[in-house]
Amino acid sequence: MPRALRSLCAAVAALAVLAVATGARADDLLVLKDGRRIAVRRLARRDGQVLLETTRGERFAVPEDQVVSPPLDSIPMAEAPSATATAEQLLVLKDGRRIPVRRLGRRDGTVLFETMRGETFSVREDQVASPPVASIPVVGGAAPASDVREQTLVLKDGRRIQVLRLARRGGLVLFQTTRGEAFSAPEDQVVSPPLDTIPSLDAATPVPMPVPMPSPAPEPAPEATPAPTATPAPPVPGRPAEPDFVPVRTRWDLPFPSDPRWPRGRPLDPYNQNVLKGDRPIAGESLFLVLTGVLESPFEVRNLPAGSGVSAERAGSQEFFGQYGQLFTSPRASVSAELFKGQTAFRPKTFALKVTGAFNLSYLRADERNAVHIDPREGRTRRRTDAALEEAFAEAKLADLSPNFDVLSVRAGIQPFVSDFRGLVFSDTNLGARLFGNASSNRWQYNLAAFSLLEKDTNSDLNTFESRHQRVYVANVYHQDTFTHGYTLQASYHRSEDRASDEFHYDQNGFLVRPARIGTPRLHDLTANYLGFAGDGHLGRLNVSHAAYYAFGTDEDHPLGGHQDIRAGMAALEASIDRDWTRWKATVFYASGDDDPTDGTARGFDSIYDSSNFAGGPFSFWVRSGIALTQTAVLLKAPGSLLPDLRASKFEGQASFVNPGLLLAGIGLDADLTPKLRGIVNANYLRFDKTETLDLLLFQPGLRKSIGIDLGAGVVYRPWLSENVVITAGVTGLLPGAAFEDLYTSTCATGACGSGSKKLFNAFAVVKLTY
Amino acid sequence: MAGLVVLLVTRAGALRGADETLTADEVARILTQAAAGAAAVGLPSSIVVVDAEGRPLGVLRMDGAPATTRFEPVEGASGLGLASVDAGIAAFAKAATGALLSSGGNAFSTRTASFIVQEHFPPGIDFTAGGPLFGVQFSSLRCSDVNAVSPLGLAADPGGFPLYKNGRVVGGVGVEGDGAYSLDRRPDLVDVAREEQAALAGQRGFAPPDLIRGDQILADGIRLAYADSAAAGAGAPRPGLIADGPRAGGPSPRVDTTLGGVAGQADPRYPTRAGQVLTAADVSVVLTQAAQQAPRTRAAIRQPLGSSARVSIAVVDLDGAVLGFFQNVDAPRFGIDVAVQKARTANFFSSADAGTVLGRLGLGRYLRDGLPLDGTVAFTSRAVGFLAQPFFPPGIPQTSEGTFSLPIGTWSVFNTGLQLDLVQAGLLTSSCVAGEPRLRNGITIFPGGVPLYKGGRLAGAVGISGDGVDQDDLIALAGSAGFEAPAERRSDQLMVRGVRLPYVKLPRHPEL
Repeated sequence: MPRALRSLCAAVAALAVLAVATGARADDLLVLKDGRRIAVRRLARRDGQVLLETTRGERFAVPEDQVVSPPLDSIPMAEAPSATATAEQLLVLKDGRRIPVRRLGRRDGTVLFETMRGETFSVREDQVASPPVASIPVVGGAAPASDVREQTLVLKDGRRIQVLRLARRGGLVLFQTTRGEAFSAPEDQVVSPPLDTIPSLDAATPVPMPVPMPSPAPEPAPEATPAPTATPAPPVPGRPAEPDFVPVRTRWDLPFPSDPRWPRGRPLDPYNQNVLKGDRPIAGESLFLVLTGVLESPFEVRNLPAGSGVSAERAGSQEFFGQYGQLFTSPRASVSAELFKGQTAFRPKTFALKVTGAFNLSYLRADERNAVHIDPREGRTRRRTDAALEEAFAEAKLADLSPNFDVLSVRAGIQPFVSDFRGLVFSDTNLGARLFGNASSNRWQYNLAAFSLLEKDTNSDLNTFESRHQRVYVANVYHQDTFTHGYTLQASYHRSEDRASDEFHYDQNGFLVRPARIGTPRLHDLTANYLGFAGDGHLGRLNVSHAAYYAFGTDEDHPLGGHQDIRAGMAALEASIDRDWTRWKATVFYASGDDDPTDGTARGFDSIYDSSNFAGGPFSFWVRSGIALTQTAVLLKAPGSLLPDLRASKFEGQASFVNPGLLLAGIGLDADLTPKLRGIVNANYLRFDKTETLDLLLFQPGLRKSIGIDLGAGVVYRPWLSENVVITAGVTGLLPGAAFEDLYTSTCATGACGSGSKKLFNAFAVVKLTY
Repeated sequence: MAGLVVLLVTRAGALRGADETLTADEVARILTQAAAGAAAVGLPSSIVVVDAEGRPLGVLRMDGAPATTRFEPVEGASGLGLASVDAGIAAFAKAATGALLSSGGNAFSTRTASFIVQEHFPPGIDFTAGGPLFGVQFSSLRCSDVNAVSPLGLAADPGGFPLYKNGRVVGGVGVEGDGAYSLDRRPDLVDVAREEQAALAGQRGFAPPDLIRGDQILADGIRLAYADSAAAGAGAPRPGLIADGPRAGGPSPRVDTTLGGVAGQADPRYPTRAGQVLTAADVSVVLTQAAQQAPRTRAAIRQPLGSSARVSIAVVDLDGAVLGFFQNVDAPRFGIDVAVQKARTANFFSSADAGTVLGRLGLGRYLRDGLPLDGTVAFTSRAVGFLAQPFFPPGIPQTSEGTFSLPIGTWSVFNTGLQLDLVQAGLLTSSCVAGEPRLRNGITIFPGGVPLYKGGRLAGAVGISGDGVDQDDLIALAGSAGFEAPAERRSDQLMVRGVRLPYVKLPRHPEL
């Protein structure tokens, strides 16, 4: 135990003694070497410290050698604590904890103890295994019953305070509120009750104080007075018969200090203490309810490649490409309720139940037909509403594996899961069971997960109750503080078994998505395995996030290439440096491409369901946008993904390891412009790894590789400095490179036809309100 | 390396221009090989070999081969108003289909034809419009004044393949033995057909380069079909009678020429000449503009990737007479008849009396939806085809049929509505549409025909056939430059049942 702490404890004990030593009572002047002159009521010495209580009732300590006057030898030595304090005992609790204690006492059904470190605690008597409760001396004694009655204390400033106890001492009125908080006020501030009805403690017979402990409630903050020393003195508890303990039933009853900086919570206030937000138990000491409501309203204006369609919106649409404009919004309201037993910190949940319901409204208006639905009669707009059970799971702790909260838990049901740091391979909320836990004081964490995926709604991406006929298995293990503190490594294995070979699956807009309508669309199964290695954290000042995956498996009958052995790889690295209020980022990403779609080996990397927060994430045009491979029935890339994987649909479609792959190099800057406002700027250069797949699919040889330069800028604004209101907005765009010129233009020499490159951008704003 | 050799051979063959032909011995060998293959799979068959133009070179009827073949497009449906047809005629249609649809850049079988003529493309996939060559089965009919080949037109029943020598189409072989004249409704399932096995056996030694087989061609990302079966082994020789031939293949009836610097062939029957409105120079301009667009246009159906389109170009007069014809080197020969059909379709439906004539021909039931067939609207063959599918809009299930089509319950590839009704009476005669000379060889209901206007009035039409339909449209549009229909009269101004009709549709990134 550090010496300072030891002496501090001694000082606490001494001050307690001082408090009861009637002989020390005097209004003296303490003069210190730095010239301060302090009017004191009490003085005592102990362990090289002079303990003092000012006339205002504040208690401090200064080293003896700082005292000029009065002479040290005139200051009485503090006496040793009373005889009831024992040297060392062992307190054994029923939960198995064995606590060496210096003092023990009993009052009001609780056992009060002071550890050898001088910390004071209490437990319920029925939690004590040893020593026998009967052998623990009863201390303090309850205040006379007549003292405990609820009454109103009225102060001159108009405050009316419901109090349980009242007493007077040294010109102060001491009181304990009905919430158990103990305060004092100068006598001259009290209007009612009459002072003479308040019992005075000054004349009372001092009660021996066997257990000097600080009051569990902090004193009101003292006014700014020059402290006599830089060493803050611990609060000194206990005056004769003052409630030195305010027993509270649980730690949850500990109140916040009465101060405008700590607003009282209300049920409608999600930010401050709120029993509906899991800040206090709803029953018992560890059963919590967390209600969450989220209203998220994305709004996008975007220009994405679109054909004009055979049956076009406008006359004269002979050009292949139509107008690119789209307007999209998809407000979603979700409400979730989670009930769990545990604590809000440290201790893992014993069990939890969570349900989330979501209601989504999606609206798309495109400049051309065939975008909202394959049937041109549907026009240019699409409105859909969708309600879904987005989460529904139960979680239970199976075992405690160490005294340090290493546990093994299981969670089953529709649950969110991101399989690595950045969601590069599997990130979804779906039906599954997950065994997870940690070891070695949380240095190791692990997941064993099996999902039987539910189909998603085409337009809202919310879960339905239909099966996707796909199973996903994930095993991963994290090791924290590898090499250096703050750096976590992960090794993982993923397996996706896509067994979508029972019937053709059309999405809700009439498009065949399983199998994709390219090549020879035949029902086919797909099995992909991924071996992965990833890391995230910081190496000194350098923040690093990286991942590498190798994919292998079999596509039984890829539409373009037939039977394929999958052999593909991916690597990602983001490094950043924080300088003051800015973070400078550099990113490289590589997903292998397939150099021959028909050679029976699929070398293009694809994920299971990635939701990549990488290379700018939503502030990157490429990552954000779903880009159609016009003239075919697949997407060049799906929204929210990095990979140009030629799926028919991100969720409903099947993975395709016959794809062009991607090379990306980017830089970015995150700047905390104000505490509420973060600015984000992002630029990526992108190119395809191999274009042979596109050459064949489009029957257009010699496609070039440069996709272009992806630029994005945006802000994240948190007006209340919390997550309760977050406004995100940005503009992203692509300066098309040669590959996009080849893919998305239709110029011809005579001028009889000719659509050049059109602007590609995506401007968005998202307002997210969270309760 | 092999690919390179193939490529060189293909290129060399394509450029040479001179026709390869089958010798009589080769015809006999092909017939015998096919018969041995048919024997091996236990299917006594009628076997026909034709030359590149679709002229019969030899017929072999094995003992026990069925004499007739039922029309069986779908369960229980009939077609052409006939219940069955002579098996030799069916085998001939298959052989001709292999020969006519193929070129030095693409080898198409009857299974390929089946894949591109059904009500959905690919067949069996809902919410997709009809195949790109929807209705091509009623072309190169024996009744045609342009290219009289097959009494039944083109076939979709597996068992017909092209024959190649040195990368050049020299003919086709067709096998009919299972008694059903059908098509492949479910190309996503493997359909091992004995007729196909036998025909592939016949093709041995005369197979196309692997690179140009139909299944190496992707149209709008869709891989076309070629064969689901492997060639049959040689079975025990089985007696059969070579009922006709064997003869050697004959020369092409067309003559080499160049037009606007573009090498190709002209048809001596159709020298460029003036029509009722168009001058000979006008016709020449249209032909030349189209001929020059083809080599700039990247082919949609030819290997190797990056080949140029090779098409047949026809200009017709207001009365349907052919005012000029040109063909790029190695354009597939089905396009000869179809190019004229397309031009005639655009010309006829854009005419002031189109509705009247259809009524007079007893086809008044197709005059509906308020469609103005009175010369006020310029129709392309794309627009007519858009209205001629059994779903409207095309491909969308649970809709009623297009204006010129039949309900899906009675529709089949042998019963397509207006298109068949126009030619049905004349099928086995010398004029397909006896009552309407402007449509002498029938109509085409897929894109590539564009009406020509001069001084604001209809002057005829140009038809392009031989590559992807969007490519055909592009070349037709390029050809019609200076003679385009006024924008306000084009069919894309019309809404039918809430759906805008197309006029032409150009390809994505069309040029090389």
